[in-house]
Amino acid sequence: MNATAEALTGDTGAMSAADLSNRTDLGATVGDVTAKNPRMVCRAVDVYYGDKQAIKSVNLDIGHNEVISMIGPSGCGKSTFLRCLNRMNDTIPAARVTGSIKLDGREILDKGIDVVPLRAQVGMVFQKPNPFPKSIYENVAYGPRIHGITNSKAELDALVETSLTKAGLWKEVKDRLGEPGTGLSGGQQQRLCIARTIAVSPEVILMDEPCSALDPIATAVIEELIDELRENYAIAIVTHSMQQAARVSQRTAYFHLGDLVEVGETDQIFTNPQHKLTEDYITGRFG
Amino acid sequence: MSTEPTRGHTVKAYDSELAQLRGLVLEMGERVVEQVTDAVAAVVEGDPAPARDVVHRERKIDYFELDVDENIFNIIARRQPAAVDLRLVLALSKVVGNLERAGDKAEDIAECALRIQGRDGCPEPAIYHHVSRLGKQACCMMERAMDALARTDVDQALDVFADDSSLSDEVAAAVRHLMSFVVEDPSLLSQVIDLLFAVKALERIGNHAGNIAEQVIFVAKGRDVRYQSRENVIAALRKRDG
Repeated sequence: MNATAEALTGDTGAMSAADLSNRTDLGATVGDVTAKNPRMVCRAVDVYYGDKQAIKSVNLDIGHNEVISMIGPSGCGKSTFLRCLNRMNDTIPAARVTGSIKLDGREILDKGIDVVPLRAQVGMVFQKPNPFPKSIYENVAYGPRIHGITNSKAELDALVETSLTKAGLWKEVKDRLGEPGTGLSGGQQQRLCIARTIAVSPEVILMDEPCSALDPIATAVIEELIDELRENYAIAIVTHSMQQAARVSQRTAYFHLGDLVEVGETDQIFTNPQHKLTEDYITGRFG
Repeated sequence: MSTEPTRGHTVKAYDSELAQLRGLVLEMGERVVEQVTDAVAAVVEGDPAPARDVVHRERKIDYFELDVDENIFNIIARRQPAAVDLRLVLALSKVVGNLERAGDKAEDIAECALRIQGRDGCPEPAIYHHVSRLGKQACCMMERAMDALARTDVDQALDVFADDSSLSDEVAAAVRHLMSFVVEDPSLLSQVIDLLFAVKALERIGNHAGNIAEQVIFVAKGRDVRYQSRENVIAALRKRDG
């Protein structure tokens, strides 16, 4: 096949659309699971809750300076997979994770790994803003203090200011740092949680439905923040909002019943997905 | 080879809106083919009545475009279509533009017919031979393109590309044939000039059908094949699916 024909058909020896739509073995993911500059490399990741397999041999890279969104219907395993990336599933007694997840080449599933520094390196922002019942200042300062990141009050003050600035919250709270974090609006609380995550110098930020409890304006502010954070971090976001995935991410991964069905550039996934299941979900035909 | 989605949206109203939009465009296509058919008949048969009807009905074609545009605008605003739905909506937006311009060309042909009749027609019926043939070919291409659109049928769309190529040959033959009349009888120059306008208008209508076929491929395959060699497109897509 000549270059033109290949460009037209995208025929690079991959399966045809008909083949893809007829596939029943979803073990192999459609699209390129690798990232150009991977921070995290996940290979053959299986997750079991007791006897039930929730994630089936997932391979996926999380790249530096990119936002990857994970989408799929409820129960597809996207949040379960996200929680593997900083071993949050360890907190669930029946959960068992196998395979390999490397952070900058270091295996994080090893038993000997201390999950406390790991969770600083791979921070997480949850669905519902969950500030500590402490002051705005303490919410951000708590992590650096227990991780021994700063050596003086002045350094800690500077880190709090930097973190709040990066989270786009400094101007709004600089005159009331002593007030409770829980007194902020929902959107501000979520940005406070992001500041708290940033304060411990993570490499990767995981976000599990970070805007689902926020109004559209607060959501837009968080989305703008995510785009800014991309300059310094690798970001993986789970979202039920396909429009949000389309807006914020450079790559999108579609999960279905524990399988990673398709991964691709977000532009491609939302305009010309290759797998029928992805297309059905993206277009609202899933049922 | 149809590549239609196999099931409807969870939100049924969305299906209805897309079906209504596509239905409007298909109806507009039928009206355009009717316009071209009547305009060519007016030229060939020397009858001013259908020519006047074509000119009169042209405005309705324009209204179709406005109606379709409004539907597309609303679907984008309310449904945020993605993947094949997005491709369909964008394609229909381009298809409707091509149909509107094809409708304009039908009106041009009708006006040629009226001008020729205003000069008491042409004494030689053979002079209309190629216009009649081209009219049938252009209408056939447009019908085929619209059928391909209705069923998202790539094979049909590729057939339109093949027709587009033979249309060019037919146009060249028509021009040579018409010029031979002027050589034999220079007094026919005005009528021949009008017929040449009609021939070029029919060629454009065929080209618009080809453009619509490109949009069918965009919907079905997600590939933008505009401004590419039609031969390469046909070779690539027939080979892939053959």
